[in-house]
Amino acid sequence: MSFASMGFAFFVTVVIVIFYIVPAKFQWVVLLAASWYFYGYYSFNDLVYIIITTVSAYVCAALIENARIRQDAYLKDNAETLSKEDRKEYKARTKKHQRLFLICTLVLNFGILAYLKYANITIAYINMYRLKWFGDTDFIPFIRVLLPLGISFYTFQTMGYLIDIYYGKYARERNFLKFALYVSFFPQIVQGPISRFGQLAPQLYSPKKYDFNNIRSGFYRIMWGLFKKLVIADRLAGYVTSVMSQKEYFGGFYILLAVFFYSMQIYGDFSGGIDIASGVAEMFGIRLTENFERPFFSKSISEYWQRWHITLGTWFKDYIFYPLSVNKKILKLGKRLREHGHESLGKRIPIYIPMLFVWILTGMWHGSESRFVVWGLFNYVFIVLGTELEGVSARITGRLRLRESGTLMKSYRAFKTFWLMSFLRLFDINQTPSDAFRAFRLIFTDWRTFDIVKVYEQLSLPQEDFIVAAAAIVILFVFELIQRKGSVRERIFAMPVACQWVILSVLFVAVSVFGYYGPGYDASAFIYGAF
Amino acid sequence: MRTKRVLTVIFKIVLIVLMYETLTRIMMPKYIFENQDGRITREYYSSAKYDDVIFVGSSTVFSGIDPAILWNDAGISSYIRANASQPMWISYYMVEDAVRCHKPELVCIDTTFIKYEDDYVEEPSTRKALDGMRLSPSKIGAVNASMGEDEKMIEYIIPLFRFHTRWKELTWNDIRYAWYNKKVTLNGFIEDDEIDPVTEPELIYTAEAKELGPRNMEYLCRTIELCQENGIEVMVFKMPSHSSNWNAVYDEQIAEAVSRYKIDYINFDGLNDEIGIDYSTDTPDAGSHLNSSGAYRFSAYLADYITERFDVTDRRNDEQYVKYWNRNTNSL
Repeated sequence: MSFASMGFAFFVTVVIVIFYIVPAKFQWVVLLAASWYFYGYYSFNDLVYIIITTVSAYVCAALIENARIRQDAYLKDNAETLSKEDRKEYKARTKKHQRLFLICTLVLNFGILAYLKYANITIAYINMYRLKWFGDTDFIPFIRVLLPLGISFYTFQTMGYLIDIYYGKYARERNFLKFALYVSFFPQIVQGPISRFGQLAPQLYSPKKYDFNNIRSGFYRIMWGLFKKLVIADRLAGYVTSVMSQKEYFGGFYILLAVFFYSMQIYGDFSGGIDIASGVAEMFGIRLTENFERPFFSKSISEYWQRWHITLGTWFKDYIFYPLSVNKKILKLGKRLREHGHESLGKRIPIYIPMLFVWILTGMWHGSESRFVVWGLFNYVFIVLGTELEGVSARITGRLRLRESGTLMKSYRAFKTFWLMSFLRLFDINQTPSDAFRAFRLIFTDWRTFDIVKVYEQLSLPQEDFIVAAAAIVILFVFELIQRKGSVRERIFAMPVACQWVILSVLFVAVSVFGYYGPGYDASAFIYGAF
Repeated sequence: MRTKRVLTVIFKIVLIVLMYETLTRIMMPKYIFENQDGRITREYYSSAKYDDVIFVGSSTVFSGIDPAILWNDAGISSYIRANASQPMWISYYMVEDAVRCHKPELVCIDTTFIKYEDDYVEEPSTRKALDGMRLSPSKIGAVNASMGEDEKMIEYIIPLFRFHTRWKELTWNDIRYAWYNKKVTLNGFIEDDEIDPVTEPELIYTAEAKELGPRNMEYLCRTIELCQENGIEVMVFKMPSHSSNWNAVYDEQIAEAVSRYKIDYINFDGLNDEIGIDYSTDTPDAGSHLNSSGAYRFSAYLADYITERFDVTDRRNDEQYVKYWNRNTNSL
């Protein structure tokens, strides 16, 4: 039941009808039942993993909170008899217990994720090196398991909740079933966004009144998501795959075009999926956290990562970067550098070290192969270089008498960021880092042999599809330009009804006629659904 | 205020339906100038209540039986629910669908296609046969029985999902004929004036002597049972042809199967002289099908054959039927 299927449309329609028919206090039960049905329908066997995550997180949260309650009660009851040191010691002991509960649960859940995600690639490496070094052909067999749907997303979301509980940010959810809904809410389980408990849970549990505006608004967003997915992303997928599989024969501009198209494809695919998820949630009166904010208008790589897959970025920032940056050893290193006269470096090193971890982990999150780690490291290097060279860049801009805030510089920076990020995606569309480097090198060869007819006839992008893709990309950019000044949907809803209908009709025709779906098309599954 | 809201909602629903219908009609193949058998199923419903005899089978039927001759010669009002490469299971659902619309007096089942494998799937033919069928349990059953692995039920219920890819090949005619509802076949008969004579006068069957597929045989039997349950007479036959792709063993198996229902089976292949078919002039493709003149000769023979053996009403004195047939013949 893909998001871009009639089965899903039917499922959502049925759930919405039931959701608004049942008494308000049971609405969350409908969502839970729908979420479990949805997940079980996708893959019944994978339910076991999500159940383990839900139960372990629920129990752990209870243990952490109970330890805190016991501690508070004990300290209160013995307020007069306990010395300051005793109180401190008791608190430290409680914290230790809490940390133990947390670490055990984190190890269990991230262990499952790591096992499912990295076991086979590890086996492959072991086999390869055993053969290479010892000539040993007695290979370790691969494990027969597919990555459960959305496991990276729900694991991160749930573990984020646990860490927040550990730090006392929220009171835990006491109702197990309500907590299970937070873990498995169906619109976001496939590919996020990774929501925070404080933002999502109150919305899930509160009663909702039927509001046509929510349905209308959600429907528009779903259609826009389908447009991005079916008209842009899936249309371009064939060309990108064709070029990358024959890059020795189609170098130069063919690869450059593939790089550009892949950026459009992955953006259309991922943000389209998020639009559908957000649109569906909106129909239930639930607002999911935004995961994209016009990333192709970013003027630096740091900014880009604040606009692309925002919820993953903030997760890493809050749960990896910040805890590491206040780590005693790292702080001490910074202090020592400052004491030795490296004032500026002393300030930056406590940022760069945790950032390195974040980018290695971000790479690993995106895939198990080494190319993803290389991709993460390149991102890291570009961000560090961007920061380190800010002064040089400012001097050059000053000498050229260009205004930093001027349109020219802004456009140049957006253009540069777009292409840097697009070239980094070569790691994504090639199987190995050396393949990616070769593809990059081939961009600078054979420019004279480019023939658009070959694109149409040999590279899975017939002329008509090329025109539709180009037009759709232009529409996408225009839409995002308008969006910079505020919600496009709000603007549409402020228009006369006839105009709203024209827009909806155009969107409907675009998706239903020009969409890449049905027999004859191998519509790609949502790329991020595999994480 | 409430009435206004309700009216607005109704208006919007009508608008959505209209938009969808228009898009679908533009995108779907028209089957007006070629592959006209794609219109046979859809055109059936406008005349269903007048059809006493239903023919089911494959392309040999819609090219070889002219209902106008049956009408003129014997007052038999008939319709051909046959399509290219139509397997037995689609024929079964065609009959079921016909029985639901208007109970005929006689159902004639052509077995030419029964020799094909049980897992035979050919999407274009299935599409031509079923896209025109009204949504009903029969259509759902027919689609379920005929779909290939890559096909989906929803694409038959909402054909736009299948035919949206035609946007690249749309012509002005797709818009011009989007709402075209006139008949292009004569009760399922598609005229073919081409002549491609047979080169080998003697007909020798060369197909493999195999056991016919159990699924094919099952649907043949189910069709007969369905008719008998509804008090409809059944004729089981094989259309005349000069194709070597047959085997006498098939005749034996079919005859044996239908005999359980006290029905005779006839293969018209061996009756050329009696029927008057001349394969040097009566076939458009070296004997596989009949052309217009072949259809004329066979239909005249068939009119007598049906009249002699089955209890089919002669409607030539029924004013409504006369009007109906006048309309039919004038419309083309």
